[in-house]
Amino acid sequence: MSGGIIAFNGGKAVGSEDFGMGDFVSGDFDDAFQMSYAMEEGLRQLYLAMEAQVDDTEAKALLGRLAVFEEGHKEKLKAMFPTGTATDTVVETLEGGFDRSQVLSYFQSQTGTLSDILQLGMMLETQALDLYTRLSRKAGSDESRQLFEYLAKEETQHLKFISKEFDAVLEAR
Amino acid sequence: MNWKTLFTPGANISPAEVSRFMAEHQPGDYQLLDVRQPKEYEKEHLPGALLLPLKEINERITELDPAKPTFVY
Repeated sequence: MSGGIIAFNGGKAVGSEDFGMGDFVSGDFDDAFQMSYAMEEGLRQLYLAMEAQVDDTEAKALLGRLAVFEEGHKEKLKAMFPTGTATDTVVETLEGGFDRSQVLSYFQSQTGTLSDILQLGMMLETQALDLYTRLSRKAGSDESRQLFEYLAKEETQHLKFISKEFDAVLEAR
Repeated sequence: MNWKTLFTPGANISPAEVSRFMAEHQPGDYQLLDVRQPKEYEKEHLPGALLLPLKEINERITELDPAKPTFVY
């Protein structure tokens, strides 16, 4: 790729090659499913916590939509992998491996505009795409690999959805 | 043109083309290969990139799938 990563304008991920993988150490499909499902729930709860923090009506509505969107991801995940155990356990780790309270405290330092929210959402989805792609290479079974490949594909869709919302915000400026 | 790469199938493509390819394909359909140092990878990398520093390529080349399009940076 000419110009290397410096010239690349798309989303980039951070962290070492095993960043965020600690929660998936067992290699067991059900553990992987439960953790992925819990991370979707963690992100949903993050959006709800952010929704409670912002005053702007539009920002509140956007965060509410993003939370509903995560609920949809959970349902889709259950439908795709009906043998997985789905419990709404609260986990500190979000999709992509970030710590929920750290992200929330970072968000508190922001102004909470639509752009802030969407950029954070895009960053989290990019990290999740990165983590699931790396995990798919290390999966201990075909079932786990299929799960991670599915999740990576889903993250690209989520990323497209949030990018579209971001484009709309930029165009409205 | 670099004469050393004249007889290899590699091509130099722009970041915009890579970005477009990534948007039009599923993550498992291609490979992103990061040949920089681990610390550089840690700081930032393309999502899902495989870290294979230049000095390790000879020993770890089998980790790559020769059937998939591979983008190197």
